[in-house]
Amino acid sequence: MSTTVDMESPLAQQIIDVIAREGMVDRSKITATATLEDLGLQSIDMVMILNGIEEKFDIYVPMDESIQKIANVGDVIGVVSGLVEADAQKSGAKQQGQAI
Amino acid sequence: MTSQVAVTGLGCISALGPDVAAFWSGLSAGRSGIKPLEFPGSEELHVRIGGQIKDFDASAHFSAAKLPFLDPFAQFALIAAREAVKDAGLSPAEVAGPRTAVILGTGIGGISTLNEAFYQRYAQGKRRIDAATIPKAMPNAAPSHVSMEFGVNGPAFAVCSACSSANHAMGLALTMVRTGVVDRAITGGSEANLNFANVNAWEALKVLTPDACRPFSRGRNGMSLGDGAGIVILERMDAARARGARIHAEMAGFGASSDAGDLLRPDANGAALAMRGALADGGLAPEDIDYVNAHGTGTLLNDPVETAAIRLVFGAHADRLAVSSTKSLHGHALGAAGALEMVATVLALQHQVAPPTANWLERDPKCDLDYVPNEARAMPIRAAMSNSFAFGGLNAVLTVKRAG
Repeated sequence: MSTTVDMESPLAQQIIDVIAREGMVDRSKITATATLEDLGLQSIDMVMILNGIEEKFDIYVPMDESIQKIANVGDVIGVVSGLVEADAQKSGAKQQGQAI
Repeated sequence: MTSQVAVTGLGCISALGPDVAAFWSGLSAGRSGIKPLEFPGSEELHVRIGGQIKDFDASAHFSAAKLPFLDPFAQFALIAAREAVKDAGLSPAEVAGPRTAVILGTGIGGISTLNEAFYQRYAQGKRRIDAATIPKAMPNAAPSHVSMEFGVNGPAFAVCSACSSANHAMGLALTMVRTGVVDRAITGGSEANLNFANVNAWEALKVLTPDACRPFSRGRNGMSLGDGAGIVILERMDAARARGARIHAEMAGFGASSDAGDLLRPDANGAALAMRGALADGGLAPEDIDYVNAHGTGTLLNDPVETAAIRLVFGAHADRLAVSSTKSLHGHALGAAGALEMVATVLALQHQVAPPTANWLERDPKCDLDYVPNEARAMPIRAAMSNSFAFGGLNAVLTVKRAG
């Protein structure tokens, strides 16, 4: 999967906040190429993170093949950004402003 | 002293129907019992499908005096146990007493009762909740009620290891009958978990499919929960033969292991350890197995890991196995899953038909075995394996073979 995500974007920063809080991870260790293993994240941690993301952005994260391919933080941000943007497009410009 | 152990009775209730005949009819036709959920609040869920037992009238099975003390998971266990004891042709006098065991698995026990009681207390503000709540909800309620109904005084207890519960229960029962602790066992598992709060909690774990359970298939996106119970009667083979019982199969071996790793992520080596144990305990070589009733949840994680585990254990023979997941037909009945799947596996042996994996679309590169897609297959089955792997990394596998 692509890891060429903009880690400094406001949306990426919000996702990193969720990863740090729900995964109980030191925020400074969350880089685009950090793998889930690097961060010591087990499967239940990923579930907590995905639930936190759903709550934060009011979206539903489907368990499709894009989730299966997640290997590092960049992948998480890529998948979640896509979902948030798709949801914002669906909901119109006003909601997009709220989500991001 | 150790003895061979016979399966002489089968009973079940599931989304496919109220008894073994309906179960096999659904399995062999590849007709899924997974349908839209119907219970209060189901419209608020993302996931609205499951293997629910519909058109079920508890009052047709239990007296008005007894019913207030029976959670659905105990009701299902009793209904399946009645069918299994009758199928075994055992008289009430033969079953009663200290030489019979009742060992039943459940993942979560009387959660329907807890859901109702807590809803009344928290949401409706009732000051007093039903005094029967605890005895209905306790996971041992099912084996307790079964022992009371049949007057069993031998060892009776519940086994609770999530999705491996029933296989652990049947494995223990096998060991107790084989070693002469008891002469026979009523064993299996039951679950009644389809209520709003429980499905909501499973939904949060991101393992439920919102559209279709398609194990081992490309495009799979989760499992479907199911309710039900499966019961088998195990007896010493010589005793079963002496009384002229019809012998469905020989319960051959039991293997168990723990991954000792991740709470949710399965591990191929842990699963393989349990499968090897079940082969060795049953005196079977990998090449003796023709059919595997897979754990096969349909989740992203389980199916490739189970496929890898089967390849580890069976080597080149893996490509000659028929491997199917009947969870696509009856749902994942959690603590009852292994029991329903044991009934399916014994029926597969008897009918010489491998039940199919429903909703299979196309091959996933990580799942490259023969999963009997969508249609049952008539084929020679000499011996079979039934896999159960639980959250927490608890694995339990059983092997059965045709009675000689």
